[in-house]
Amino acid sequence: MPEPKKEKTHVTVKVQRQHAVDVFIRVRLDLPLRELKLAYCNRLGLDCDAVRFTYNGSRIHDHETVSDLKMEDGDVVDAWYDVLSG
Amino acid sequence: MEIRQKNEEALQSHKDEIEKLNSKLEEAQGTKQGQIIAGNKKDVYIDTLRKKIRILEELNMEFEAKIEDYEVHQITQNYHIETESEVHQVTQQATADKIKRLQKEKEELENELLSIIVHQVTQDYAPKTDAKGKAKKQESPTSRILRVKERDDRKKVQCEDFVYLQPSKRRSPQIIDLETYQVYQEKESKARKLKRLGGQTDMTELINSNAWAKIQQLWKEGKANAAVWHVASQILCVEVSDIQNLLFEDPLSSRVMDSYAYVLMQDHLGAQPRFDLSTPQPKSFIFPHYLRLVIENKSAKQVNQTLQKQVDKALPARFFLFPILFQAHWTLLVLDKEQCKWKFYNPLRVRHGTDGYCGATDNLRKVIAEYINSQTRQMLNIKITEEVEIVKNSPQQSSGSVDCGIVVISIMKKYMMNESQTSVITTDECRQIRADLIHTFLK
Repeated sequence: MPEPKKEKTHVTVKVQRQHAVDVFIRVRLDLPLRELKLAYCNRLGLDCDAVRFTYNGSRIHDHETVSDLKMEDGDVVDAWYDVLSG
Repeated sequence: MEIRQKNEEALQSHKDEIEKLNSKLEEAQGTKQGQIIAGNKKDVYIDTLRKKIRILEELNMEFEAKIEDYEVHQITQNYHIETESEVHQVTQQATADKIKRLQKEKEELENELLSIIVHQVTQDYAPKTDAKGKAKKQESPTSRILRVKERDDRKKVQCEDFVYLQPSKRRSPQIIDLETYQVYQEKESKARKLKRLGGQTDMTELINSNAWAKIQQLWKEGKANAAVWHVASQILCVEVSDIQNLLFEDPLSSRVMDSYAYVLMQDHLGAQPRFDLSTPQPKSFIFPHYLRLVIENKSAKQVNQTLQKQVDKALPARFFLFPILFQAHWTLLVLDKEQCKWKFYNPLRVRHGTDGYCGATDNLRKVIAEYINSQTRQMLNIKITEEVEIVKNSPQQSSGSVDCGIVVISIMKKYMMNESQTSVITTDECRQIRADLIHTFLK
């Protein structure tokens, strides 16, 4: 009897930022991604409001979940930090 | 000692005499041999000479025996002899000493021989038993670093009073598990202090009373992080600190650029004529500043996905505007699709040599051109190249100012309003644009 496949409950995504170390975050499928943003900024000591997160070119909303965006293991989330220039 | 000296002298004189006689004999032999060849008459004389040689040889033998006796005597002279009866004992002692000395020498030689044998054996076995590395080391020339490392004992010898740092280990990429990650409470970011609102300046004169009242209210609250304008669908927001930057003529943040680009796009779409119920088609389209970074850093698949989202919306437009943020400087890249031309506006144009800011857009131009060519090939006869024209009469920011973002906004605004571009922008115009931005965000 083949064992029934366990349904995936978590996904590990990679958060990338320019000139910064990649961070892997394991997220539950139904967890609002606001918590991913907070955890990333918390770990790197960033101001969460100053960082924008995008997935496949579109911004990630706070209330969205991994299953909403159909993320898979190893998918990349980009973090963008605002820069002043003149 | 005197007797010894005399004996030596006598011996030497005897030896000299023997040598002289020998030499004479040899000479005589030489001369006589010549004479023998000449004739047999001299045979008798030769016999007599031979007899003499024999006699001399006998004498020589005697002298040699005497010399041997004398040598024995010399050895025995080293020891103190009181009576002749003790001579025998002294000779015995001397021979015993000699035997001892010889035994010592023998032992030393045996030891040396042993060490040589051991060395040979170890040399034979050394390359076989050693690792490959050691064998190579022997072949390679001696390295000073290797020698120092071999005798390096710093790790062993450590001072007890000194606290040594532990060597840092390379960590594998860490995974944050949100199930167990404890620090969920949003840390209160360090309260950034707002600059003091001074008296009236050239900038504040341009701001209307409503906006000024709002600014004063915001400054009273003192929260630099508070959002004053936002679009939930795009997650665009402008904070009080951005208003402060605009007010004090500081650099423009990427947040303000993207937000104002969104506002301009909305105004532009609203101004377009509608011929039916479908959404109006823009004439110009502004892309977010991070498109260049996506193209530069992401994989082809991700770039394609982003382009599909961003460029497909903009395809009906004629002008594609790309605000470029490179090395803390804003520039603008414009694609005129009808003329198939790229234009590059730099508010801080380079006088000599190539423009590095323009060079940073090479990849962007290449990717966008390829994408548009592939999308519109069937519809139109368009072939966009990568060649770019650096606009020579683009408006320039005044020296010492940080108005590059404002200049780029002014160029973008003229594109959106279908106005002709000017070659000059004054400081007052820059201030006016800053004031307009503040009015827009504080509405």
